[in-house]
Amino acid sequence: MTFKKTVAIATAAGALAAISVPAMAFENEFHGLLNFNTTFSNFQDGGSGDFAIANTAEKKQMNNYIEQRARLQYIAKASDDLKMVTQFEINNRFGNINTVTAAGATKSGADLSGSDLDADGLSLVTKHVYLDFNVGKNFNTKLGIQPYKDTIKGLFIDADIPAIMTKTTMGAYTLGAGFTRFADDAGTTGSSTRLGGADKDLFMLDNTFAINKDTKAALSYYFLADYGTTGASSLPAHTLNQDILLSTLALSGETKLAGISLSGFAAMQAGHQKNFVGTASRKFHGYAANVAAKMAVGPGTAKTAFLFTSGNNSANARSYKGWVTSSVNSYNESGMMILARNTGNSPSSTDRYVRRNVTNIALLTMGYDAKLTEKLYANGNLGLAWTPASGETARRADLMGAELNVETGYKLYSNLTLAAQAAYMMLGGLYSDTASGVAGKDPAAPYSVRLHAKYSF
Amino acid sequence: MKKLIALLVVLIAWLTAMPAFAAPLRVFVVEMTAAGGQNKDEMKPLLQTLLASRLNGDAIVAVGSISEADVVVAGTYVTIGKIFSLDAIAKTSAGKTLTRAFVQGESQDELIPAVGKLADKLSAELVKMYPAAPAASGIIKNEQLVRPVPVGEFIKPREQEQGAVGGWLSKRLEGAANLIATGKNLPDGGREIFLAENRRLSYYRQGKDMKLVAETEMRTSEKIISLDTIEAGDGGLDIYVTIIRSDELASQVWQVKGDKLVQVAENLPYFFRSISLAGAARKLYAQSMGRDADFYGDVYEATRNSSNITVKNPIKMPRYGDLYSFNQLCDRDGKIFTVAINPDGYLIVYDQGLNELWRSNDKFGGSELSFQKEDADVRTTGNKFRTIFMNQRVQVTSKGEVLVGKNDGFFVIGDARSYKKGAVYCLAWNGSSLDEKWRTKDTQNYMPDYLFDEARNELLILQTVQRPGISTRGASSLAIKKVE
Repeated sequence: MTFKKTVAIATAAGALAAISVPAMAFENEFHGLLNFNTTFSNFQDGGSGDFAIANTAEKKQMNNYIEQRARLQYIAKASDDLKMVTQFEINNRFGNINTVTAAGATKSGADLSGSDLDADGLSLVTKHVYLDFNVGKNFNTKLGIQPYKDTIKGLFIDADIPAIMTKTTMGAYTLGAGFTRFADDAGTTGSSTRLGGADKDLFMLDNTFAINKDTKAALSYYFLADYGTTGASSLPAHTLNQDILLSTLALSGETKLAGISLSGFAAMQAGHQKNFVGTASRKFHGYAANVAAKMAVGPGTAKTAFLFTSGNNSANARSYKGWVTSSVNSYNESGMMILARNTGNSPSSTDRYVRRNVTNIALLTMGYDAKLTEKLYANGNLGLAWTPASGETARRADLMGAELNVETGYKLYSNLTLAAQAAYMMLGGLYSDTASGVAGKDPAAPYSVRLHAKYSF
Repeated sequence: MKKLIALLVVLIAWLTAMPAFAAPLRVFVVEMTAAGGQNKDEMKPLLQTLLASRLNGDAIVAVGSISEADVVVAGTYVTIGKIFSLDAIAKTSAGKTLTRAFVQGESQDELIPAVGKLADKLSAELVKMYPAAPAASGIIKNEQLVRPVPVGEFIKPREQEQGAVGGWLSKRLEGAANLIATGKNLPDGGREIFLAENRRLSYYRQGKDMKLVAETEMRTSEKIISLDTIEAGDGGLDIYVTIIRSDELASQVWQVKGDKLVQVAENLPYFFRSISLAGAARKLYAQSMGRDADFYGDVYEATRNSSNITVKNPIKMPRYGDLYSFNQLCDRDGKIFTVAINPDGYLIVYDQGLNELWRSNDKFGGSELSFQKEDADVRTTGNKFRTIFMNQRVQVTSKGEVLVGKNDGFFVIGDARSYKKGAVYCLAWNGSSLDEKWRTKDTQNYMPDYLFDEARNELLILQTVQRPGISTRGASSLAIKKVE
């Protein structure tokens, strides 16, 4: 190689390095958490889903178990306008041996839990993987598996979804428009083998308007097109050719008046399911509404809220009056631990509530979050729940019961909180005399006592 | 040849003597005490001024505050009958007596010449004792960045090599303060200083030492996120304490009345900041909090009338600009540019249309101070509170210099922040980018806040010497450096 060539190559390498300088703006952002959760409960069992109180035992033994959940989030920021977000999760329950083979299998399969002797499990799962980029100043797009929560406090959908989401901002007005395909039943018995032929698709349109600094309003429209062959866990069950087309229209608002934060929403559903009664369709008429208030009082915050989600009390098979959800929703505002899903109280895999799918419930809650010192806090919540549709038991009473829960925590370090929780539900008339196996007896009242260590960064 | 050698020796001697002239001895004259005679109160500041101006010379410079002085001179003026006596004592800033001198006279006509004689006597003694030492203010200028390789096995901090400690350093102050603001200058050369911890406001008088005068504690549910002072309409001093309580702004205004802090307004729904935009006169500005936006809409000029805040003259914010992250600078042609520090710590300069013109390659900023709002998606983040970090403030001097703090940390990941050292950088707009003019030496601790007192040309650097623990409030210290 001649000297000239060497100089030329060196110059080119230098020029490349110079061109690469903007890559120096590349930012690595990390977040993560570790929740450690010890549970003593007669209804929580490390699993997820609704807990049906009726027809459970009069005396239930207490479960005691220890869980942990770790999350690691890595964000690769190429610039202010382009980033890739990934988040992974590791869930374990001490001693749990969960293999990839069928239920009841021995340890012959790969260990999914990694929580037994000598660990070594395959317990890493993907939570989020998506691309987040801006086109110009006012248009943002998110592509991939991402978190989404509706504008009605999560009552329709609060889940991680594979989606294409866009957000257009024009001054005080924001338009969120997106699409998710959260199930594809192609190839299941009798269905089309064509990908995209037997899906559950959801289209989302969120119009948000910040009227002034203290008030905002949102009008949302969600359209569920379920061409699948099976119902998702909590969606209305159906088989092949029983497609569901469901529209949800929701108006919500939030304002601040005389030091009180007020918020609420009203939502209605309309739609149909084909071939439900013979060749006849059934219609959907679901409703949900909420109002909540929050204000600073003394050393903390006082909260109260009321939620109504309709239940299906229709005797006509061609009419469904229950509030239909995406099957994964939430109602965090309640502060409940037993009655309704509050993701704040699902720090690990345990995600069991009387209404994990929050529908068919009227719930009045009151709570107070007190900051006793800079590091010590104590919260208390009381909830009273009724069921709008009493189909759950043969009883005529609607009162599900009252939940009382308390939590106290200590911020040992700025990122580490040690907390203790206790919750108890007094059963209402709805569950009277519904104990399994013993006539005239009530089921055991659900309770849970939990000890947490929560670390996040 | 001999002549040449002699000439060289003279030249070398002259060159080595140069630094001695470069940094005169800094002397501060405190207000004199007066006994006997008439108009005592008027005489005290008068004699202070007379003596200070007469001490000022080639070898001695009379400085305006005790914090920047190497030597402190105190004096007494005594009149008995027609005879007066002026007595002075010079001490080091640490309190060690250096010398005494006196002059006496028989009538008031001789007073002013007597002050001159006293100054001559003191100067002569001080110059003898203090062959002038080069200043070590803790400011690193660009031309000083390249240091000679130290000879020997031990590497000493620069200021120790030079045998002088720059600036003024407070003793350990109880409580890990996050924020600093200054109040009025005191007659003895000191100043009022206000420090804020998470929920405690402390009022100090800084002279030779930091003396805690009063303090007040907020509710457990309140957190102080900004501390600002501005002259009130009645000539007093308003202390604006921006507070977050239960997700909402509940700011307060305090005043000093005697030796007490008195609250004059509360529950104000604004973020407040007193700032000199583009180096102009300091004014009070305010911004609101929105339902979704942490910092909502424009920044406004604000005025207070009792408990009412009136806002006017909105200023549009650029991307990443908010009340606490922005400032303005003015170029030679009088064009106004906006400068802001973004959440990643890059300084960004925007043109009049708020379009980005330039962005730093180095990171600045960094603060452990934050507030929380209970609107996080707990399912995603695992925490129902969302943390919003404050950043280092950007100050702009009347000369158009941009000052910004910078903290470095060993563990700064996500919402976990633990910085270990900080510095203040001074940059100047050259028409296309911000050039570094100087920076301070790194502190040995996290620097939560800094403040540039342009009238006195002093930089006040707050440091956290101990973080709050399970049962302790932590501790701070304050360093004051002269910007030369």
